[in-house]
Amino acid sequence: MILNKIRRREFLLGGSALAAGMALPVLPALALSAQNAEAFVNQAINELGGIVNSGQSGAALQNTLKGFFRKYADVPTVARAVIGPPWRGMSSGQRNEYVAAFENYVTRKYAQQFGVLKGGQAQVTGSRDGGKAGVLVNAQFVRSSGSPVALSMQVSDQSGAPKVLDLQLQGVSLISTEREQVRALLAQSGNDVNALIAKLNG
Amino acid sequence: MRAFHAVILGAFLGIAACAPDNPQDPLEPFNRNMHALNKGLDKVILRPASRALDAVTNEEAQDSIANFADNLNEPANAANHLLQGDIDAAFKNASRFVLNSTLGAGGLADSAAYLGLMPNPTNFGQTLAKWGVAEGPYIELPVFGPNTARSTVGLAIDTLYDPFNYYLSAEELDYLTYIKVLKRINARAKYGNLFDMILYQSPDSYSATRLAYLQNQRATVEKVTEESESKTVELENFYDFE
Repeated sequence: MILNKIRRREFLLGGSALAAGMALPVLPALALSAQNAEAFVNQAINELGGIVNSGQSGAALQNTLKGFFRKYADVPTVARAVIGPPWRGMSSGQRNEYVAAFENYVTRKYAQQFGVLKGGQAQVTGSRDGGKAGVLVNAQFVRSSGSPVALSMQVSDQSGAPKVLDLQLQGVSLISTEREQVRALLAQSGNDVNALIAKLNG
Repeated sequence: MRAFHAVILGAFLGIAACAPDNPQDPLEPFNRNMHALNKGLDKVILRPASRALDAVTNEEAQDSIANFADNLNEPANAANHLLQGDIDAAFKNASRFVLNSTLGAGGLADSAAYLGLMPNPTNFGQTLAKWGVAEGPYIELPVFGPNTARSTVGLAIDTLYDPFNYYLSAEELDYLTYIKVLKRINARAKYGNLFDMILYQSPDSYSATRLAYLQNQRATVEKVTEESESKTVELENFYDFE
C-alpha cells in the first residue's frame, strides 16, 4: 500500500512536471528588458545612420532600406496592423503580395525623407516600458544645425526575437500615418485589395 | 497685427457656421475648406518661393537663415520657459541668445550648440499645456496652418507679447515680420520633400496634415509637461489582431 502510494505520488509529480515541461514553450516569452531593447535599437540606428550618410539615393537607397526593414522590423505584422480588418478576408496569396507591396511602398516613400537625418549622429536616450506591447526606445539624431530630430522605436520580442513594430519620427507614428493613408488608398481603389496592391507597388 | 486679428476672427466666424460631424474633429468641414485654401496658397506662393530660394542658396545658407530667425525667438522662449517654471531652460535660452548674437555673428551661426547649449524652443501654447489647459479641437487656420484651439491662443499671445515688441521701433518690428516670412519660406525649402509628400502625395492631404501635426504637437507637449519622463508608456500591441 505504502509503496503504491509513493509510486502514485511519483507518478503524479512526474506527470505534472512533464505537463509543465510541455506547457513551457507555449507560455508567452518573458517581456523584453529595457536594456536589451535599447541595445537592439542602438544597433538599428547606427546602421540607419550609416545608410543615411552613405550618400545613396533612388533605387539603391530603396533597396538598402528594404534590407534594413527586413532585418529589424516585423514587416508582416506591421503590414497587417496597417491594413486592419480587410486582412481577414484576404487569401494567403493576397496577404503575401500585399506585404511585399507594402514593403515597396514604405521604402519608396521614406527613402525620400531620410535627407532630414543627414549628417546626424544617432544616439539612444532612454526607453519607456509598454508592458506586453513592448518597449518604446527613444533616440535622437543630433545634426549640425537645428534641434535634434527625435526618433523612437517600439520594440517587441513576441515574434520570438526583438523586432521593431512602429517608428515615431518627431512623435509621428509610421503605423498611424500609414493606417490613414493605406486605408484611404483602399477606399479609392473601391475596396479592391488587388487594386490596392497595384497602387502600393507604384 | 491687424491682419492677424482679422484672420483669427474670420476663422472663428467660419467655425461658428458649421455643424460638428466627427467628434474627434468637430471643425472638420471648416478645416477642410481652410486646408484647400492653404494648399492653394502653397501651390501658388509658398512652394514657388521656396524653390526660388532653393535655387539661390545652398544647405549652409539655409541653415544660417534658420539659425538667424530661430535666434530671434530665444527671448520669447526664455519668457515661456520662465512661465512654465523651468528656470534652467530659460537660462539656457537666454545664454543661447547672448552667445549666438555675439559669437554666432548676429545669430547666423549656432555657436551655442557647439558649446553644448542645444536649441530648446517653446511657445505660449506649451505654457498653457503646462498650466493644465486642454488641447481643444483641431483648427486649420488660414495662412498660419494646422493648430489646436490651445495653440491658436498661444500663437496670438506670443505675437502680442513678444519681448521685442517693447524694445524695437515700429520699423524694426516690420523687419521682424519679414524675417518670419523668410523663415517660413526657408523651412518650406529645407523640408520640401516632407511637405510635398504630405500635401501632394497623400490620398487625403487634410487627414495626413492633421495626423502629423497632432502627433508631433502631443510629443512636444509631453516633453514640457514631463509626461515623457514617466517610466511607462501605453502602447498598442500589434500582435493582438482580432
